[in-house]
Amino acid sequence: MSRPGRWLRGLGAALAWPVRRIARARLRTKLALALIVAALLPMLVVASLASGVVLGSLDRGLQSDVQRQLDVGLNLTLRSVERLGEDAVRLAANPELADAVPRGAAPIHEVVAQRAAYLPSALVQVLSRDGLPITSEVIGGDEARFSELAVDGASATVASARDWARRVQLELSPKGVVVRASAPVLDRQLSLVGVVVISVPLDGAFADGIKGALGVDVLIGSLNAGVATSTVRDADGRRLSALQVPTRVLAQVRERRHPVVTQAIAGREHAVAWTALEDDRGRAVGLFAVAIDRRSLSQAQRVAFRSLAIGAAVAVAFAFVLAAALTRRVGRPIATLHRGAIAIARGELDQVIDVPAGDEIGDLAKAFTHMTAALKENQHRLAARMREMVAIQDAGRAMSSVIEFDQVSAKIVDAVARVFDVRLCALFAVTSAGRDEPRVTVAAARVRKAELSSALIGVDPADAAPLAPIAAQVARLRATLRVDDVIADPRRKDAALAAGVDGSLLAMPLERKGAVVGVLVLGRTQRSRTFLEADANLLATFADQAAAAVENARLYAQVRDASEELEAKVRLRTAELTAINAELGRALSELRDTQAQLVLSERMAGLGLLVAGVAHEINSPSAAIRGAVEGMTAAIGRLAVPMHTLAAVVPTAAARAALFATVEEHARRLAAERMPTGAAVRRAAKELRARLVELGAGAAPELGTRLAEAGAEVATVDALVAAVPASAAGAVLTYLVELAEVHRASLLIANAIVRIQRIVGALKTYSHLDEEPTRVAADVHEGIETTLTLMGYALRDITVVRRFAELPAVPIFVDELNQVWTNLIQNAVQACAGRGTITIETTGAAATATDPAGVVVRIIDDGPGVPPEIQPRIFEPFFTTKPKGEGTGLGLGIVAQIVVKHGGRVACDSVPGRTAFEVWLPTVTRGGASA
Amino acid sequence: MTRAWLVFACALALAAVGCDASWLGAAPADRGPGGLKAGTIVVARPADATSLDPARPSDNESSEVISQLYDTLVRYRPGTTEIEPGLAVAWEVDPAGRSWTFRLRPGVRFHDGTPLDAAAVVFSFERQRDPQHPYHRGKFAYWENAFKNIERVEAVAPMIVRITISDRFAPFLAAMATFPVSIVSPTAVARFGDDFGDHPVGTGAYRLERWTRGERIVVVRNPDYWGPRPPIDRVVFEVIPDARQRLIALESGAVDLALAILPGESQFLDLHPGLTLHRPPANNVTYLAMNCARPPFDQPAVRQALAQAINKQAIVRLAYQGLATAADGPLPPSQWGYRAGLGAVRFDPAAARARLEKLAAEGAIDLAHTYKLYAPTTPRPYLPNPEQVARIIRANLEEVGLHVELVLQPFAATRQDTQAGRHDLALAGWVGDNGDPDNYLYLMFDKDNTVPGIARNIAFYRDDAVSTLLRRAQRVEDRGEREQLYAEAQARIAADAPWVPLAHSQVTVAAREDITGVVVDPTGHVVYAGLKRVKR
Repeated sequence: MSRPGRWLRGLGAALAWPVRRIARARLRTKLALALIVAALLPMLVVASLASGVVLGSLDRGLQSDVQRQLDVGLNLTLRSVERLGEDAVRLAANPELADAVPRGAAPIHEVVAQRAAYLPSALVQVLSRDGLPITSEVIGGDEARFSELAVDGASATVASARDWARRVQLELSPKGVVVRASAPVLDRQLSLVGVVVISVPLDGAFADGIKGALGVDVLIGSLNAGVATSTVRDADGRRLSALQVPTRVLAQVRERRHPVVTQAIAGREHAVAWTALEDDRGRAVGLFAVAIDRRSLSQAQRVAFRSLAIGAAVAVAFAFVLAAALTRRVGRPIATLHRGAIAIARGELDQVIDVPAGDEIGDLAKAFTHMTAALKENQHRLAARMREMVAIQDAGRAMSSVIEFDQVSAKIVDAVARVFDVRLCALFAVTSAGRDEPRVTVAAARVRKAELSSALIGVDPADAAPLAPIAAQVARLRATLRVDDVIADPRRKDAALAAGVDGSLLAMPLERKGAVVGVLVLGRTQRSRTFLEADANLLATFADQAAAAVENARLYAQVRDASEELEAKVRLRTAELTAINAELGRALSELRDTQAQLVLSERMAGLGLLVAGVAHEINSPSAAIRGAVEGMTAAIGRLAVPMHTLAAVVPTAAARAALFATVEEHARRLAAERMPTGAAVRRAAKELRARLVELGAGAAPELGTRLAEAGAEVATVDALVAAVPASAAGAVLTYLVELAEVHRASLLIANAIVRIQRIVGALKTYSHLDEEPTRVAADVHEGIETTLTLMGYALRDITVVRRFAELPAVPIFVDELNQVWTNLIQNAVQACAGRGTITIETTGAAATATDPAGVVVRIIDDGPGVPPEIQPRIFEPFFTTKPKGEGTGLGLGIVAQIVVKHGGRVACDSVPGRTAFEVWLPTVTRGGASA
Repeated sequence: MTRAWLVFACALALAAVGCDASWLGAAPADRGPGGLKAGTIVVARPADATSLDPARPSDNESSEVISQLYDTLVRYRPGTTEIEPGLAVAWEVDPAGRSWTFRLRPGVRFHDGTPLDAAAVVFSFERQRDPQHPYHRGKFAYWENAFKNIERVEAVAPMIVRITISDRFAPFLAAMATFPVSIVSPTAVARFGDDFGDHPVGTGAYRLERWTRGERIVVVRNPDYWGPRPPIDRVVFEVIPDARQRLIALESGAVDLALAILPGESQFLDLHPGLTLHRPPANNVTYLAMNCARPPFDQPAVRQALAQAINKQAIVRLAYQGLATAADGPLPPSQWGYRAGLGAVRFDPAAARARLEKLAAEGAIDLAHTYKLYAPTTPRPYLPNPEQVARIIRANLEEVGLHVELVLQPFAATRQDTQAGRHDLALAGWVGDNGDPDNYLYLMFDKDNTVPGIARNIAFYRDDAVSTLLRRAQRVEDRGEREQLYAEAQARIAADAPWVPLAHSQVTVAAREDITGVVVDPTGHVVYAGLKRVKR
């Protein structure tokens, strides 16, 4: 869509509400509004045009004025700058100065003082031809203004003057932009004797000078700092010297444009034109601006707006008065008309609108009165027709309240007889109204006996039977028959008279879905009026409903017959089904039994594996115990001989006790130590044997070997031998060896028993034999560890890596969950064929939108993986990849069942080399209580 | 219907309120400074033209306007010394280098409607060359110096002209681009006769509208010009002799361009953000000519002593304010043929004084005598402040014991006197006409050009060897060989020191910031057809 199109649409939308609002307003309001707009719009147009032109040209005048002033001001400024250059040249060209420079500061001061009258307020510096400062003089006496302005010999200004050049330059100094004029001082022979530099800051005082010539306020500043000093003074007469220059202006000035802006200075609006001050290389260093007070323009603006506002107010007031007067005259008859019209609309048709005026409104009122009369008559006619319609409507409702064919027929006949004031009303049922001649039979009839006044009575349908041929004809022709006077119709006269009808006759077919289902025949006596076209139409309206009712009643009869037949069939079939059901129930319970059997066998298979492991675990320590007991028994037997010998050679009981205690201590120590083996034993045996020979213990060499095997050192041997007489040396050492063996065997037995106890404890924990199968908050790790312990034998060639996280307690059925771990770990062991790595990972899982908080256990193996095509099926019961007979296929099914029972989920993620079974368990039970 | 009118009236009223009512009380925007139309450019110059007949004047002010009014057979590509087609679209030269044939541009008409044809070209040349020509008038300023080698100019076909020269002449084509051989309308010359200089009719981009002598020349765009349409409708050449006043006029916006700016004013221009100073490279020379025809300057020793006494640096710094370079020979460094160091003389007043005293003792020079130094008072493009230069020279010469009296006169008078040889010393200068070294060296050092009255060689330096070299250089086409010959000639001239070369001045054109396209051609003239006024 084009831009103007959118714009127009927006405007339309914005105007829609007020336009609607005005459209709904009272006529009087509209009139008043129109008058106000008519008074106000031209005035506004003319006034804004005039003030726009005047203010616009004033504003433009001010703009061009400030621009012109800027040009002049800039020229004046640069002329001042140039004049300073000329002053420098003139001072430098003074022959007296050329004479004075070589003579020093005092003579120079004299010359400068003489020339001071011709110089502006400035800092005058005289430097030697080597650039060394000789003197500096302040012309005008304002030392503060010229402080920090002096140049040194190294500056470009001095350098150019030493190169004989005269130069005027704008420079940036700490005090802002400074004018520097320099000139060489030459003697009569045109040789350089020194340099004159005159510096003047472009400050407020300088700006005052420009303002004096220009007549408007001047602003001078530094472009980098973005502040300007001005000639404007505030109410206290203080100079506004640190005016912040708007950034936009700075940017435009940097682009060498001359922006004209409206700016508040000292609280008053000024038109300010800005330009840059450049140095001689065209670099912008300073800012220059002139400012003209906009006060007069603003005043003009205010006056213009005020007169505009007063004018508008007067116009509006005038329009109001006019509107009030006009609406009174025009509005009253309209209001009367309005009230009358509303009354008629409310239905007060007797309302007379009395408008005396002979104008269009009076004509309108008359037309209204005529219209009311016509309306009234129509209303009466409509009411009569309405009553008939209502009667027909009632008849229809009455018909639909019954469904039996006879009842429906009776209702139809009743209703017709009631609505149409008739002598006889009969409904003929039509059958086989197709190609064959229709057969008509009287379904119902009503006859009014003249003597019984207006009461209707039911009669024998046979009373209407004589009319059957007429009904048959109507059914065949499918057209309404209306006879005004049956007496005059020789073909129907006899039949009609036989039925007691001697006036007019109306017969109408009842058609439904293209077939004639019945015929209504109405007859009147001569005393009643003949049937009219309107009667036929009204009956036609009713006939449709009647046809539907007749058709429905017939269909109902058919359906009723059919349903009775169906019911009989259903009863039969139900009996059959009940029998089959019972059979199925039996089959199901058998199936359940089989399934339970299978689950049990799977669990038993797991248990068998477990038992094999446990048996192995317990077997090794018991074998160890048996061996140790044998060794211990032999050693105890061998202990007696050295004991006797020792008892014999050690006389006192105290000494004996001390000796045995010492030997006991050594034996315990040796037993607790690791048994030396191989080369160490051989080396120690050789050493000990040598020592025994040295000691003359007379012991057999095998004693040395046994000592070495028991782990005894030379020092121990020495200590013991020293403690007994030389004859008992062999005995004491033998005693030590045997005692050490006894102790070692006893330690072995103790260790084996600890191992057996651990296995038994694990079994107990695993099956919770001592607990009820209830849900308890438990540590998941504990169950996993137990399972791992029990499966130790199956895991002997497998590296089990545990990556356990800190987990909260989880509400679980401990032994059932242990079944899960057993099955999964067993699965993993089988997957990696008994060797490889199984990683068990646990993590906490935070609550998500769909799940509560939980824990996740992953059992990961590095086996070949589950093929992707069977992954979706592995948790199905009886699904197995193992050859027939090797597995029940229930392992993972049971896992899934148990996990689901815990309200958790199990999933499998498998690629070759990494198969992870992930079990997620909620930490909150389904009931919502945290475990 | 009524409703439609109402809507229309409302719309009209709203439109009138909504639009800026600038048609009331607003100043016309298309006006330049001083109330002139934007399509007009006003140029402030120090002097008026002397004549606008290309055959007559030799001054810069005349030639500047003539270049706008007339075309030549060939011309310089703006800003360069390259030759490109002008009124001739093609040309060829015979193997002997004597016969040049030019095919003329078809469909060109003079400002008076006369069609350009071979006859008009023949007329323009022959009235200067042939003393028997009905419109030949005495001596033409340049013909004798620059074009006297032309023997015959003939129309070989209606649009083909053949020019035969006496001998092979290398700078010929460059000379054909110079203003004296501009093509004039024969009907106009016939109509105005001797007053043709006041009623110039050429084929140039501009034609003369009005000339108020001593005040201004107004030229307007030639609507039938054959070349690209110049952006500027009208150029006014305003005479403002006072350099300070020219600058004030520029500053106030009364003029758009100011020529011959005093070096001292360049500071002001540099600082003024609304004004721009254009400084194209120099193609000129300022010199002190010593009259070799008058004793004691007929002695090279005297001239050499004087050369040592002049402090060129002081002149460049003080008088030119740095807007010039000290000259060490007649050719500016930008001119091909220039060789550095050929004429460098060290400033040594003590040695100069000693030499002069010795010469005085020998009777070669009379130091009690006062010698006359002629200098113009009118600033020239190469000499913006002649009086000051003259004073510095006098100070330098007094310093070494030579008494000098300044003869300061307006330019025309000074030129007349110096061309007649009335001076001892003369301060003068030259702006290259055609970008060929011949234009400097032959004109100012060949003995051919020492005819009193029309002399260009105002040192009256007559050296056979130098003349031989310069004439040989004219006949050689090869530039390398010519450079060699000119180097030899410059070395001899430096040794004989008929001049003290002083400076090559920068041309300075100051313009208001809204004027763009300021290009200066080798003759130092602004190419006015390329100027444009932009909105700032």
